[in-house]
Amino acid sequence: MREKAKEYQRRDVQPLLVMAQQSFQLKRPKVLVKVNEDAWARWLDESGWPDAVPGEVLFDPLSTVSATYGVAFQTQFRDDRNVWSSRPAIFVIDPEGVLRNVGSRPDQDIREDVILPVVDDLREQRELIAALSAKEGARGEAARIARAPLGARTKTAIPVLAEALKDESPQVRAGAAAALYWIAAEAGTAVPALTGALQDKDIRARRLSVLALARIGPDARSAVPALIQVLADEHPLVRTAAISALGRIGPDAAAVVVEALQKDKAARIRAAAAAALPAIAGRPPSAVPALIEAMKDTDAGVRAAAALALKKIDPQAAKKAGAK
Amino acid sequence: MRLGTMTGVPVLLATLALLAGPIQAQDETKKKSSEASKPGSTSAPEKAARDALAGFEKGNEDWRARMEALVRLAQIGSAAAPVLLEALQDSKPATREFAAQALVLLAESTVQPALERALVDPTPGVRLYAIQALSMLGPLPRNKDNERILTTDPSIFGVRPMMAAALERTDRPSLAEMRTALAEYDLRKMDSARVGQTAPDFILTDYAGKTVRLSQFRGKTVVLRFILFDY
Repeated sequence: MREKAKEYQRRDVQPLLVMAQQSFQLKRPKVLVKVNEDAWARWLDESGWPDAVPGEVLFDPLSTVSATYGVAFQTQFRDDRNVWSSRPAIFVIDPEGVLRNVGSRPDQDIREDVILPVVDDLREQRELIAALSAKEGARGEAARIARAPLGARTKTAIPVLAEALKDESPQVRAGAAAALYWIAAEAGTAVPALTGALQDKDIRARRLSVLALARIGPDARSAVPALIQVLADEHPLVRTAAISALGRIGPDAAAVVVEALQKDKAARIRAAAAAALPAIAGRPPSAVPALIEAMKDTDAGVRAAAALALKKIDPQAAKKAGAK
Repeated sequence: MRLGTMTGVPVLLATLALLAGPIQAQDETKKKSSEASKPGSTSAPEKAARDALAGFEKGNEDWRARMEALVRLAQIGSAAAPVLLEALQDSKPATREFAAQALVLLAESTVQPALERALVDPTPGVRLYAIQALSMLGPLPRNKDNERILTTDPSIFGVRPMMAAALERTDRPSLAEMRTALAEYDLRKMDSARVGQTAPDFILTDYAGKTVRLSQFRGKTVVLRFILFDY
């Protein structure tokens, strides 16, 4: 059995692969068997999908299930190139049947090496929320609401969980942050509390608060200055989450990152802003001149980070600016 | 399960297909045959078919508009064919392509000549769906024209493989069943999966015809992955 399959079984995860197509099951043409199998083997290898688990490969010949999940693939040619009307996507569904994560990148397929950590994170969140829901009183009730599908009662849990973010127990704070992350679609009013939690000493509480703000998206705009500080977090997972959050909050947030690179008083924040820019969604064009300017920063760390970032964004401009 | 032993193994040509070769520019001199239709004599199914087509065109190529139009056309059934045959002559490549795609569901001997003419359409998507539609009527003959498409069509990873599959097709799909399944799709369910809500349940079949329901995996974490395969 392949290693990847074991990884799925060890986690008691059921993989389901849906072949979405508008077309229909045609017999595999012999002439293409070789190239097909090579392509398939290569894909399995690169994507990390387990081919030896009782993992079901399902067909969606009319794209109806795909359409429900918002991923209908239909072949269409534009300017003589074959493009797809949608893109590959991964959904993580918890044991209660609730959809917890959606992964989709505009330009590339989703890799399994990203998905298994998501599954592991999900397990940790479940445990944190379960511990909180075992408590008596309002907090336990709020955590139980957060575990259920979003509904009429979800909003009632928000203030309780927001308040629990300030608890003295790191376990409770992390549980509250996890719960707010799960019900982020309704948690707009918790933005101030989540912003405060960005300075939590507990890395789980900090990271889950960032993730919750990312999911809240544009409504979390007031958290942007605090998130900029998180770009310099000591923990790489927290930094990555902050980059993603700033991208999801919107183009305004990405512009603030450029501003931080130019104007922040702390050199470590300027360097962190530079390092974040290549990965930030909605990065404004002004990022390039700002990075060129930052290559003359008084701080050596900022200069190095700016040069590295510029090389990733615009190798030619980096060369011209003398980046090594 | 070893996928290598599956029948009907999918091909993952999503990236390869992007390399599909260039073809000649669209012939803009084609006439719109819609001008020939008389507004006074429109029947109800014909009007519904025109509305569905207009919905697709207005949808600005969004997949939801395409899906909705396909469902509506499946609901109309054979009566939609004349409108689609007309659209197969449209000056806009996207409209012709969509018409060919919809005709896959409405393939009947009456539309065969028009589909055969569409095999030389300058847009690869039209050729691809025309081949597929024709294959719904049975395997395509190994004649000179089809062999030429198989070996020389500029769309190496789209049209050519579709022709290869169509020449060897052995299954006899039930168009009526497919149309019914699509016609019964509840459009309100489209794009309804939301984080934090119960994942929409579904029933699909695997390569061996075994039925699998999402909710049968309650108690386990499910990683549900959608990928494209071409045929």
